[in-house]
Amino acid sequence: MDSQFLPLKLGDIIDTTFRLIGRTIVRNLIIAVVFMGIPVILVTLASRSFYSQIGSEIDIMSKLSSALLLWAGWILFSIASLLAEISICVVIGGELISRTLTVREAIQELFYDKWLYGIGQALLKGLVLAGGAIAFGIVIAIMGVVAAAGSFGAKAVAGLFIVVAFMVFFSFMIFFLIRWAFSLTAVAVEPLGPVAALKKSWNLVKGNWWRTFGILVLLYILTGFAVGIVSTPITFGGMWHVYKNFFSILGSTGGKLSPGQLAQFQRSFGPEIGISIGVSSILSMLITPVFMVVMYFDLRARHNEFPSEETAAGTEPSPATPA
Amino acid sequence: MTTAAVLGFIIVGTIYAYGLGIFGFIAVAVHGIGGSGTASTGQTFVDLLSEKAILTKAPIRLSIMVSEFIFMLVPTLWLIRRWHTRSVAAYIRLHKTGIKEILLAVSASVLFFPVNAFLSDLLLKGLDFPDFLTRINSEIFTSYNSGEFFWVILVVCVTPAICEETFFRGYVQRTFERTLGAKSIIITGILFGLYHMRPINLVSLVILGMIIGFFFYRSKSILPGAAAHFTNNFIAVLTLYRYSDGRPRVPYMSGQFPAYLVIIGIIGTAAVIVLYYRTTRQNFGQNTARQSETAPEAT
Repeated sequence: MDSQFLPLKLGDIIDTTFRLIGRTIVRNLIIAVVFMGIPVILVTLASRSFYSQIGSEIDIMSKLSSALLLWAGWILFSIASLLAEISICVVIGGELISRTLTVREAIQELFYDKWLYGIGQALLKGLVLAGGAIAFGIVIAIMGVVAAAGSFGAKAVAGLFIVVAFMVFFSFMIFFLIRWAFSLTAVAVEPLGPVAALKKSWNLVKGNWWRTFGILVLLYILTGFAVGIVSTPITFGGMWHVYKNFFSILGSTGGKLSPGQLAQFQRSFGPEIGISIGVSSILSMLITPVFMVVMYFDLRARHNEFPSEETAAGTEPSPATPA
Repeated sequence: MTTAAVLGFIIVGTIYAYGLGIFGFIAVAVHGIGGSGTASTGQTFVDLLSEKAILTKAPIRLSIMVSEFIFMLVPTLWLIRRWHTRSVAAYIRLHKTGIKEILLAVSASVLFFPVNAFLSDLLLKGLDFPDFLTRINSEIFTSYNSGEFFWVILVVCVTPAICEETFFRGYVQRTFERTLGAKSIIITGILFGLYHMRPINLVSLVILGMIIGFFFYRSKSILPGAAAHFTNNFIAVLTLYRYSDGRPRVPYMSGQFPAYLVIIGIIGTAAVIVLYYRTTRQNFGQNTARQSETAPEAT
């Protein structure tokens, strides 16, 4: 049974998030590295192979297999990130109901059924959004063809309509993304299947769309800064070889790069990209799922899903300001 | 306290980073960067970059100065009032201190500068960083007449001495200190280095941040650190003070520092730190006693 959880103000959400990060950082880091470590290495190796073949004389089959390997690496990385996020959400959800889970327990819960539901909700969400994008694309394409055959006036009207349609389309995409923002969290924290999780997220955000949108934007901006200042020197160090190569070429040519030199520079990419993305992703994974779970609990509290008692037994205290 | 310090650092850092970006963009757009954006006949890519660097330095300097006050200083002072105490001046330790401590802090800054420059040069050489890019990169800190020189001092020396010191030492280190004590010097020094987002200067900035933090911690006053920060930046601006034809006005400071000067710098800085420690050991007990009497702080 969930303990009581009161609706939080913005300051309390941020404060609770940071306290939970501090309490769970070691466990979450282990989870992130366990799941994402090998895919990062795979992407690194695949990037090295892919980029080294840019502009080279190697046969097309080799290039194609490098591209496929890189693509497979990114797919594996995406799945690993999803699994890591679910596990971390399980840990954080446990903390919020005063249940301290170890890494092993969180991973056991993940592989009981949550991994399947997590992938299921991601696929469902992706299909719906991709379907909408494709349908929109078809409408725009038809309009474009019709307009091309028409007069100048018709082309102008069609052009204006396309611009407005794009704005409406992106607004709808953002609307749906926010309404379904917590479907993965729902799978992780509660025993819900993919469809039920999507419905739960939809209903929780209902009536709180603008508040949720604003807080998510703010938290992602803060996370971006925090991750950025830590990952910048790490990425720089990891890409030292790339930068050195670039500056050497720049210095020797006085700032003029020939196409051949540009290709040579691009071929020096590869492992560094994998390292930099891996570091940033792992650092983000320590923060993002935490505030998503906190906001999930806040939304549930706003929908009166917790028993109303006078004392908040076993819950995270919500001070007005950090001490 | 640790949460408040980290949270405060991230919140103010984010406000400043985005505020500077937006304000800088608007300033450059309003000012106009001139030219067609493409090279004219005979003009190389380097010439184009140099031209744009010169054209945009005025609005960028203005945006840096305004942004530090509006997006760094103001939020920091607001956070202190909101989260800690109404006695902001007492919290950031804005009070008089011995002239000896300020002079020692300034000396340490002067002595450390060659070491700072050596570390940066080492990394630049390791990267094969071209000289023309270094010149373009430092154009914003370069002045060619006395009026511009004083303007650059205001932007690059005075403003960070007030705003960054209030934020990093006055708030972040002060808040960390309440639970971590002397370890706050190391953590704040690292955050100071990371915040500047200049990987090439990361090591020297972290060390400089720790030295300034040490002065703040030992003196229980923000003034020596602010003086040291001002001095470090002033020397940097002085080395970039040039005649209109590009010749340095202070020639012996504008090239690479010789090895003996770097060694003297290391030894001298260490000696000053030891001397500072001894000087403030006598004051330390008196200062903490005075602080606890006069600075009621919210919990």
